[in-house]
Order: sequence, then C-alpha cells, then structure tokens
Amino acid sequence: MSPVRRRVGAMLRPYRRLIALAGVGIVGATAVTIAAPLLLRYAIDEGVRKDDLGPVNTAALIYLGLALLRPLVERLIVLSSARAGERFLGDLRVAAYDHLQRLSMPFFESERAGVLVSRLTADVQSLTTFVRQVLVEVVGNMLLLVVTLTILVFLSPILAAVVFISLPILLVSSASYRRRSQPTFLALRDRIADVMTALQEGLTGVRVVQSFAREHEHEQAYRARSWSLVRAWRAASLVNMRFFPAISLAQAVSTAAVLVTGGYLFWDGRVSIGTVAAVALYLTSLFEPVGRLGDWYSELQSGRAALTKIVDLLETPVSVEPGERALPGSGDLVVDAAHFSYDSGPPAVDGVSMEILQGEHLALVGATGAGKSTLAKLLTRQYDPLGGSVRFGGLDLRDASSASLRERIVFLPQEGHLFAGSIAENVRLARPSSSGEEVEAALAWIGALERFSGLPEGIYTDVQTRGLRLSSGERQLIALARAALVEPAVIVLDEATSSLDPGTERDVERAIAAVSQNRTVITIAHRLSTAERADRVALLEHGRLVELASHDELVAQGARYAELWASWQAGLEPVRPSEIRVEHTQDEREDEPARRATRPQDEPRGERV
Amino acid sequence: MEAPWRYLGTKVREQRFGVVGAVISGLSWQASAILAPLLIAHAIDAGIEEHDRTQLILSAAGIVVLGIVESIAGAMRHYFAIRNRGRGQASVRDGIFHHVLGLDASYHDRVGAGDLMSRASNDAELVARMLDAMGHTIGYLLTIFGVCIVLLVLNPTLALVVLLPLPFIAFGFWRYSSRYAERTRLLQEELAEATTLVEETVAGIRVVKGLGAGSALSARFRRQSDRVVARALDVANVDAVFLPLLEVLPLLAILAVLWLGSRMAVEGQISIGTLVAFTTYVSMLVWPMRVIGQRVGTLQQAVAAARRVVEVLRERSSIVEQPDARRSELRGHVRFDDVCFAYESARPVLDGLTLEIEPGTSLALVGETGCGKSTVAGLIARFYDPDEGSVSIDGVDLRDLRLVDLRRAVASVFSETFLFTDTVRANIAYARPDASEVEIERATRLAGASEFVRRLPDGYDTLLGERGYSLSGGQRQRLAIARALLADPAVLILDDATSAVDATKEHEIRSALAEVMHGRTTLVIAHRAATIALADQVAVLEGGRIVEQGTHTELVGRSARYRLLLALEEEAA
Repeated sequence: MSPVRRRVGAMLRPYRRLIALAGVGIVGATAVTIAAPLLLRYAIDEGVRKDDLGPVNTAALIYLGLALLRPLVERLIVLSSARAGERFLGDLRVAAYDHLQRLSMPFFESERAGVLVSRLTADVQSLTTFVRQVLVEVVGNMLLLVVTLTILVFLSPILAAVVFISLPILLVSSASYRRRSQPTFLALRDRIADVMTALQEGLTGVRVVQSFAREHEHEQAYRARSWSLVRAWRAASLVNMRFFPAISLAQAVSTAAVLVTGGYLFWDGRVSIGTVAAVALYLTSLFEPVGRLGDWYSELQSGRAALTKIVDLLETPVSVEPGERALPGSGDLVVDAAHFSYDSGPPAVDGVSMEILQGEHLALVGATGAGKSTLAKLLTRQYDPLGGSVRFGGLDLRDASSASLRERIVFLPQEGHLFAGSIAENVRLARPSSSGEEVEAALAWIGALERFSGLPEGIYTDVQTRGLRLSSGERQLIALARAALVEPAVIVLDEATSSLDPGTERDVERAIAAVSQNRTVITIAHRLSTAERADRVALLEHGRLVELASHDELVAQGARYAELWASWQAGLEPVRPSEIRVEHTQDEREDEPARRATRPQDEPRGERV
Repeated sequence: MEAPWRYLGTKVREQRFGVVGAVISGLSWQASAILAPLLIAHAIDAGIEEHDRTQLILSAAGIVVLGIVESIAGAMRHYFAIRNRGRGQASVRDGIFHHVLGLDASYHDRVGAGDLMSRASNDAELVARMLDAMGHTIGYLLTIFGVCIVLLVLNPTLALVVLLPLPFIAFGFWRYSSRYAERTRLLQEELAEATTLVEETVAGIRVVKGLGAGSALSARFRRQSDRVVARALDVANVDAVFLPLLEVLPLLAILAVLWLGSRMAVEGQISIGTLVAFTTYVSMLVWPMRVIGQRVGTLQQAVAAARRVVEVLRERSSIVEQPDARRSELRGHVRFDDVCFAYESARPVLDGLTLEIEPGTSLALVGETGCGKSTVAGLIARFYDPDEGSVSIDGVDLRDLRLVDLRRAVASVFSETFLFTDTVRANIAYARPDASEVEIERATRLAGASEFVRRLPDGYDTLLGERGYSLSGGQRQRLAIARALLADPAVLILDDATSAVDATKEHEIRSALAEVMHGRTTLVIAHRAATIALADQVAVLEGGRIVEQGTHTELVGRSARYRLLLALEEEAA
C-alpha cells in the first residue's frame, strides 16, 4: 500500500488547495446538519417551556442564516472536489498511458492486451465515483458521526452512554458482513467475467457456431454460466442482509433506551425535556452515517483495488531505459555475441555475431522459433541483449537516445496497424512534424499515392469511414509510407506471411523496393524468394547463426540453406493429388516458362547499389 | 403502448414474484419507519411529560418492535431487489443471446459483436436496475404519501406550510437526473474515444515502438484526456447548480417547523412531542424525494435501454427454415443455377453464376480480391440466400433443407479463424464433442497440426483463446481445418484457409490437404498456385460469373488471364 500512498500523495499535491476547500465545505455542511436539533433544543427549553418567543425567533434567525449558507457550502464542496478529483484522474490516466508506452516489449507480450486496456479505462473510470462521491461522503459521514457523538456526550453523558447499548448488534453484524463480503463479491466478479467471456465468444464466433450448427449446445453452456451468475447475485444479497437491516434495529433499540432513561432522568430533574428531544433527534444523524458508510464501504474497497492496480502499472520498471547520445547518421550495424532468452527459458538468441554493412540487404531465415523475430527485436532495441551488444556506427544501442534511435532504425511489423484518423494522419504518425506535402511525397515515393488519391477524400479519407475497409495490403503500404517519411538508415522488416491478391502483392513489393533503396534492410523472410533477392542470407537455427553468405554461395555449399531452398522450390510446384506421392513430377518443367515470362521487369535487385 | 414499455412490462411480469415481494417488503419497511416518530412523540408527550411510566415503557417497547419489523422488512427488500436485478439482467441477456444466435450472417456482418455485447451487458443492466429499484421506490412513494397524511392529521396548518416546497424538490430532482444523464452520455462518448485510443496503442504497440510514434500519440491522448476532464466537470457543474438548490428547500421546511412550530407550541396549539415529530418527519421526507426524482431518471434510462434491446429482438433472420424442410443425408453434389446475389442492391456480386461440383470432386475458385469467391462459399453454407436463381445440393434447393442437416453436411474453414477459450481437444472436437481420441488425432494429423500440438505445453489439453496459449495464424488455421475435418462433412469449404500458413509449411500440409480432398466435395479458395493445383477443377470468377473452367494444367496451357492471375502470385510467393 505504501507505493500507492506515495504516488497518490505526490499526484494530489498540485490540488491541495482545492482539497482543503472541499474539506472546509464538508465541515461547514456538517455544522449545518448538526445545528438543527441544537437549535430546536434551545427553542423548546428556553422558548416554548418558558412561554418566551424571543429565543424561538433567535433560533429561527440563526437557522435561516445557516440554511442560506448551506447551498453555498454545498456548491463549494461539489466544485472543488470535482475539480481536484477529475484533474487527478486525468493526470493518472495520462501518466499511466505515457508509462505504458515506455514499457518494454516483454511486458506487452506477457500481459494480455485487454488487461492493459482495462487498467487505463475501466479502472480509471471506476475511480470517478470514488474520488467524486465516496471520499466526500465518507469524510462527511465520519465527521458527522464524530461530531454527533461529541454533542451527545456534551448534552448528557448518561444518555450518550445509553446510545451505545445497541453497539453489540452493529459490531456482530458488521464483523459477519466483512468476513463474508470479500469472497462473495470476488466470486460475483468472477461469474460476471465468465458470462462476459461466454457472450463475447458466442458473438464473435457466431459464424463458426452457425456453420457447425452448434447454436443449441452453445446456448446451453452459456445458460449454465448465466444461471450461476444469478446464484452469485443471490449470495451477494444474502451477505448484504447481514449488515444493513441491523442498522434500523440498532437505531430502534437505542431510541427506546434513550427515551426510557431520559424519562427517568427528567423525573429526577437531571435533564431537560428539550435535551431528551434533541438526543432522540440526534440518533438519526448518528445512524444515518453508519448506514451510508456501509453503503460506501464496497465502493471504497473497489476504488482502492482499482487504484492499486493502476499504481502497480505505474511502478512496473521500464526495462529499456534510453541513453543520452545521438546515433550517427549512418554506419554499420554490428551484433556482437548477442544472447537473449525469455523468462530464463532456453536461449532464443544464442551468441549471434554478425556485421551488417551500411546499405546491405540481409534476409533472416529459419524455422518458426529459430530466433529471427527475437534477433530483429534486439536490432531495434525492443529488448536489450542479456549478454553481448548491438552497435550502430560504433555506438551501443543502450547508449542511444530514444529519439535518435527511432530516427535511424525503424521496425515494420507484419501487419500495418491503423490508428483512428485519416490515411495522411496515419502516415504522419511516424514524424508528427512533417507537412502534408512531405506525407504526399512519402506516399508517392513508394508508389501508393495514386491508389489512395482515388478515395472520396484522397489521402485525407478517414480510415474508419464506413465501407472503406482498407485491405491488409493497403495497410502494409501505409506502414511502408511511414518508413519512407522517417528516412531511417536501417529498416527492419517483418515480412507478411499472409498472401495478398496478386495486384496488391505487386504494389507492396514495389513499395518495399522503393523504401529499401540506399538503406540497410534486414528482412525476417518467410519466403525464400525474398531471401534469394537479398545480398546475404543469415540462417538461424535454435537461436544460433548457422550460415551467413549470399544466396548463391549458400546454395552452392549444399548445406542447410540449400536443403531449405530445395524444399521451397518443390513447394512452389503444383502437384496433382493423384501424383502426390511422387517426388518432383514433370509438371515442374512444364510450369517453368510461365513463371519466367511474367517476372517483373523492374526487378528490385537491379536497383541496389 | 410503445414497444419498449411493453418489453419492460414483460420483464416486470416475468419477475412478478420478486416484484410483489419487493413491494410488500418495501411498504412494510417504510410503514414501520413512518410509525416510529409517532411513538417517540407519544413517549415524550404521554410518558415523560405526564410522568406516566407505563406509557413510556409501552412506547419504548413499541419502538423496538417496529425496529425489528423494519429490519426484517428491510432485509427482505434488499433480498428481493438484488434477486430481481440478477434475474432481470439474466433474462434480458439470455433473450438477446438466444435471438442473436439465430440471426443470419448478413446481420452479423452489419452489426458487430461489440455492439451486441454492449446491449447484452450495459442495456440489460439498465433494465435490471429498474427492477431493482421498484420495491424501494414504491416504499418511498408510500413514505411521502404517509408522512403527508400524518402531518396533516397532526396539524393541518403547519403541515401545509411545511409541505409547500416538496413538489419543487421532486421536480428539481427529476430535472436534475435527466440533465445529469444527458451530460453523462457526453462524458461517456469522450471516454469511449479515449478507450479506443488506448486499445489501438496496445494493439499496435509494435508500430508505435518501431517508429517511435509514442510522443505523437501521447500528445493526442493528453488532449483526449483533457476533453474527458472537461466533460466530467460539465457533469459536476450540473451537480453544483442543482444539489445546493435542492438542499436548501428541505432546510426551509425545517426552518418553518422550527419557527412556526415553536410559536404554536408557545401558544399551546401543539405539544412539544408534535413539534419533535414534525421535525423528524420533515427530515425523513428529504431522502425519499431525492430518490424518487432520481428514479424518474432510472426509468427513462431503462426505457431507452429497452428500446435498444427491442431493436435487436425485432430483427428477423432472412435465412428461415421451411416448415416442411426435408431431412436428408447429403452426398455433396453442389449446383449453382443462374445465381444472382448482392449485399447492396446497387452492386451485384454474383450475376448469373452457374457452377457445378460433382460429388467427391474438388473445385478451386480463382479470381481477384472482391470478385465474390467468399460469397460463393457463404451461399453453399446458406449464410446467405441468393436473390435470384438457386443453390442446390443433391438436386435439393438449400432452402428446402433442414438448416441443421445442411450445416452438418457443409463445413467451412475461413481465413480468419476463430478458436474458443477451451482446450485444443475441445476446439477440434467442437462439431462432435463425442469424437474419440483416435478420431481427433486423425483429424489433427490430416490438417498437418499434430506435430505442433504435441509440442504445446500440455499437448491436446493446452488451453487456447484470449486467456490461454496464443498460437500463430498458421497454427490456428490448421486447427480450424482439423475442426472441420472431424465433422466429416459431405462438402468442405476452404476459404483462404491456408493463407497464414508459412509457404514452407504449406508444402508440408499439402499432401495432407490432398488426402482430405480425396473423394470429398471440396471448394477451395486460395491464392497460391500450388494449392489451387490440388483441385480437380479450377474455375475463374470474374464479373460475378465463371469465365473459365478446366483443370489447372489446361488453364495454364490455354488461358492468358489465368496465367496472369497465378504467375503474378508465383512471383510474389
């Protein structure tokens, strides 16, 4: 809890004046609530019983003043607590978002994306009631409770003591409530999550459900969960019944005791009748806060839980801390005995050393899990190697400032991810300072300007426009335009595995060729045709670099890559099902001319320096 | 009556036991609360002032008895309220889920899962809240009514003065809650924007990090967060106007009691006990007035929610089973006769398509993106009905078949695979949960998935889905193929089902695919020539019709269009 307090304390500091104002307001409001029975007592004892109108008028006048003050005080509380609370939440949201972005990739890969999103959204939102109402209510009611008790003691110590006769009822019921409430409400949360998952899956997977005609079975499974949620609600209501009804019982017992004792005391001449009336009235201000505090108790708990979760996120260390120095404008990329493993598992990259020259095109090849993607992440410093180093132009990436790192080395993941906004805005994301012309130039450079200009609002068309739905190829083009806009020295590209329609595929190929010009390009190659076009091929197996040379050399060597290449070539050849068991059929040769004939003229290899 | 109101009425009737229970307990709860101050007044006036011990003890005992009644009734009220809420929520949610599962694919294309989720959870909650509130709202109404009567009986003059502000309070709370709801909606919209931004950032974190786009997004998020704060303060401003005003009215009533009442007591018109009772009653009215004002808002929200729910429940599936639908074993002779189909009437996707797949043979459908290949697949599974012409299997129009028989006979594998949060085994055995271990393993092996399944942490028992192990796209697709194979369908549709499988891996599963297609009616949609060539026949779809058909070798030999479609693809591959 201590980091939570420290953080929250620090974040609340700018709003301490507003908080103090709200506190003053709460005290004022409590005073008004408390004053009514006191004034009534004064009016009865000094006025009514002595047949004197003077004290009645005085009491009424004071009350009028308080009644007129009350709305002002109320307004003060609402405004200052809302300002402090909402701004605090805003700060919390922004801080969490900024921190989230700085967290390293392993975090994103270990946490489920949904959990992260709910930290920033649902958890922060659930705090709104917490900061806006719960705190004000809790503080106000506690204050009311304490002040009322003090006044009771002041009015008549004996009657005040009598009030406590009902304390055992409250203690027993609240203890039993608290013992049972936590597990019951946690179970309720779990059942809600179960039902939501069942709903979500049924709805997103409706096509699969329908295509296998499993609607009935699916609904049965869902209904079972839905029903256990109903039962969980019932259990929750039974827990609530342990505490809340006890309050009215306790109040009745205390009232009866106060009246009886008050009667005897009055007959003995030890208290005035006004005092008895006032104490009876005060019992309401005593028990109401108890009930309210109970009402807010669960809110208080869930607010604290949400706050703890958010602070946990904020406290998660950023494992990749940026350095201070700027990377040089160009240079060779050197991997030196790099070593990396996930969560102390088997090494994902195991002592890889290689030099990638400025302007060189390198293809990373290997089976799934061989370490291609991990190596790419080390090259772009999404992870730091656990041993060894990665240097660009002689500077260790760990010493590079984050701005210069992202300007020099760009990573393009498989699928072009789109953000809300226009196509131009999506491209500009890579360099927010760039002008509209620069964005257009970047799109033109990769040959995609024409394609997007045809849209209703050209490159300013919103990507979420109904019915626009950009294809995965078009999303890849936007991703490539981003790279073109940055003009980095090094591009690390994760080649898309999914197949595109032939026309778009060709556009993407051209765009890649365009952004690759005069740059170091490292491609995670899923297709060996890509490897064939690269200057050199690096073959990884179980995290180790096993072969590194040009495609032709490796094929000539006749080792592992050559085997892969042969299998790839075979994979491209169409085979008739009836002939499936025969290796290398005649179709192979038959098909060859067609492939040759249509190979594009502007073959990227020719453009390389 | 309007449909949403009717819907709410049905839900109330469904929970009639709980609602009646809630109302009865709510009434007795408040009744005992109203009677208590009367007993207090009696204890003071008849007991203490008159020095009558019996009266005092009797009223004190009465107060305790009322306290017991109030607390039992309060407990029951609580129980019924939550019971109604839980059940009401479930009833709305179950109704939506049941209905939606039966709606056709074009509805689901149009309305996303997110929208339906929000109706089945948020709107169900709003309706349930109304059910929850019914008991105590009626109880509070009684309180107000009862208190007014008691006050009028105690002293009509004082009562009239005191009750004067009450209607204003109720009106004020009603205005307040509707204004509040309106501003809150605006706040929710801004919050939704912020959520979207966070979701996008997390989903696209590779892009964000890869390009260093963080600062640009941070600035955008900061602006959005500021907008949220501004909207939230708008809500607070409504509070800041209404709450103080509404706070002051009951205080004025208490002031009236204090001043007028005391004067009347001095003049001997009322007793001190009555004066105390009046004060207690007036402060007792404040909370119910407040709640009732807010309940008007609750009701308005419930009606709005019911409207959104009814909107879904009103949708009718356009895929309807004929009452006299035929039950039949299908062999898988698929025919399209002059089929026209359009998603939007202006743009036909299929325009007089005629196509035949002989039983036990396979056909690959080739064409550019958006030419309607997936539509053909969807028509065979009867996700859609043709606008004109007919689709038939074994000579029976699909519309004359029982939907269950058809869907059991036709298994589709889509490029975007959906796996359930469950074990690998349960996912593969989805269509036939009773399948034996041997059958499951055979299907997995045929789909080329057995090797990687074996290597998973818990093999076939590995949990998949959002909360489980995440598989690569290609692995998911292979599991989806296994799932379809286990259903042992008469007609198998592979709609771009190997698109995410690594080209080197596709080679591995190709012999498996060949075995799968052998002797089974299969429609293959693919981009890779090697996969297309597995089919007995290839048809080229263009302009909503089949423009060419033949074996792969024939088409390569005779069709420039075909070579162009595939050769480009081969160069890319």
